[in-house]
Amino acid sequence: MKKRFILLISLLAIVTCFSEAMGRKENNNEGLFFAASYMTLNNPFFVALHQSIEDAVETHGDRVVALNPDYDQILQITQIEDMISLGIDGLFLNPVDWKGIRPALEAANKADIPVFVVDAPVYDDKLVVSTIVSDNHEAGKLAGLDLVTRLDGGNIVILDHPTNKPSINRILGFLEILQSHPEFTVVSRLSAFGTLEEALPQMENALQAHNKIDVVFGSNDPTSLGAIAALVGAKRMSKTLVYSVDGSPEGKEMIKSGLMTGSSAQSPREIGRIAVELMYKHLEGEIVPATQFVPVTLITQDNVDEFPADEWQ
Amino acid sequence: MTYNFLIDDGGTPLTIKKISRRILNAARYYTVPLGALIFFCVIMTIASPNFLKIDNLLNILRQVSINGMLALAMTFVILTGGIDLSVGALLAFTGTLAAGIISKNNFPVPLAIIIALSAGTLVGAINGIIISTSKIAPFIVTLATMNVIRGLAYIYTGGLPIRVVMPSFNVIGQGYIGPIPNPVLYFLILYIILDFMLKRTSFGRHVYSIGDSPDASWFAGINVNRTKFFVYTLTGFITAIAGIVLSSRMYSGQPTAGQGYELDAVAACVLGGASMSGGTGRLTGTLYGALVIGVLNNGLNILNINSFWQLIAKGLVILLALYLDDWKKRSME
Repeated sequence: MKKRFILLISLLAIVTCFSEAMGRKENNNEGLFFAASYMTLNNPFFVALHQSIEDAVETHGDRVVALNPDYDQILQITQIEDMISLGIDGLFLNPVDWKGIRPALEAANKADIPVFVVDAPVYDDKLVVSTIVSDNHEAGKLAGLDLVTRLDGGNIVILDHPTNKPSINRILGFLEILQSHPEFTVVSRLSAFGTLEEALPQMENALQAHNKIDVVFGSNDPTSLGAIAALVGAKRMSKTLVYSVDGSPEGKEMIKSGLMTGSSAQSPREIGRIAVELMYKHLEGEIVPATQFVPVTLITQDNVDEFPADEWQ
Repeated sequence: MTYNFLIDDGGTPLTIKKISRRILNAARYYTVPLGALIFFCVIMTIASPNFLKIDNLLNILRQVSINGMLALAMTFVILTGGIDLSVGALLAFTGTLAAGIISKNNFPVPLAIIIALSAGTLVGAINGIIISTSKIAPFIVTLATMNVIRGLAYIYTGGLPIRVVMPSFNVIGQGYIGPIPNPVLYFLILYIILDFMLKRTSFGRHVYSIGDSPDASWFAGINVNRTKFFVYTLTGFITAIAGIVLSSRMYSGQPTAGQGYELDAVAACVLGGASMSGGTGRLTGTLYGALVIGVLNNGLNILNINSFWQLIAKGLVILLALYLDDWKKRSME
């Protein structure tokens, strides 16, 4: 009898937990309801991006939930399917794999749910309404333009991320500027896959291979932070300029301390704000552009104090 | 499910009394998984008007089917007192293999499926040979092969997903028969075949027997090694089916797919009443176990509970269910 009683109590506890969640939901069942899925929410960039989307949606009096599949493409699709079952009015999407996301896009299309892609494009872009990304080509160009004002020539190492479309565009932009400056030579181009852990050993290898490295261009801030760690370890930091794209809080700290020369700042806040703006325009029946580039600005020691130090712009 | 109750072993005519006794027995045996399933369904129905929609129920069944197939195979392994940790990695390997053979080598779809099925069966057979011819614990053997196979999947794909958009292949995982999604159909067909194997063939009886007591089985003239070998080979084969269905549905073979699926499959088995020490468990229980996990995952998403909290909720529910089951068994003794 006592055991049954304990059983009953624990069941009641679970019911309470769930009805708590339900109650929260019922309270604001009015208005539009969106879902936002990011490849991960363990990266501050996406936390900032979601914060901005959430703020913008809430000013309309509507709500949005964040999904975190943590780099698992199958889980991302599953979560989106569940959200479609729930009956969302729109989806903000940052794909884990730009090709593998297709089943989720098809499911959304079948249910007439508009998809807005943020930060990184999808391969099947006909299945989405609009793609809102940083102007990555421009980000690379800005770094290149700053470089040619600082040096008269030299050896360059590029740390790239060959499977990531934004990174590819950044490096194309950077190389475009260098084309008209033959005094610069790219001595080495290595794949760091956008992470500090990969960039560090790659840069160490490059330092072994080349006695004179004047410039390093990393495809994002973690990559460039890895390069800086290698340069400091080899005591060759002072002779080398390091460029990057991101403008993360860590990157800005490095710029302030003089280790990083410049980082073309992306703005997750702007990406989020514009994505929400376009979503509402689309829902009101307006035509929105298929691709919307969000401007980037180069952060150097001259202007780093104009940007927030501890967060994304 | 129905024929459990309606087909009689001894050939004696079924009476209403007999049928109702069976339903009662089944209800007693499956109290925890069935109770949990009904409990969560009721909660979800109250919480979200969309839960009981046919679309969402089919959505849940489709999501359950991959884990369900792995769990059905895992039930056999667990019944023999073993465990197979390599199924998640093998799922990824066979899936990428099928996708790669089609999109890289332009092989016809049926041939690609046969190659992927053979590869899965072969890996299962290797697990089986090592486990049945040595005294190394299955946990260790499959932990090692899990790493080897995951490595193979990465090497074969170069770490990147292999995309395959070809209607004749994609229909495997995306098609429907009537309103039923194909993966659900495969899952149910597999369940019926495997349940038959487990209940009505000498192989099935041997599986239970060697889980109960390998020594007694050996003395009774059962070829313990051959039975174990066959169980792991069967697991490899079923995992390959799941891998092919998954990559067909995803339009791509993902080398990172299936991480942690082995543990979800084990969770479905134990929720369904299987004992990790072997000899106890039923496929119908595993079916309910897989459904509980599926409804729970769907429910936590639909209630939009934060993804970090979802992990905690899922873990606690599994723990609570197992504790109740254990308690029930002890109080029945």
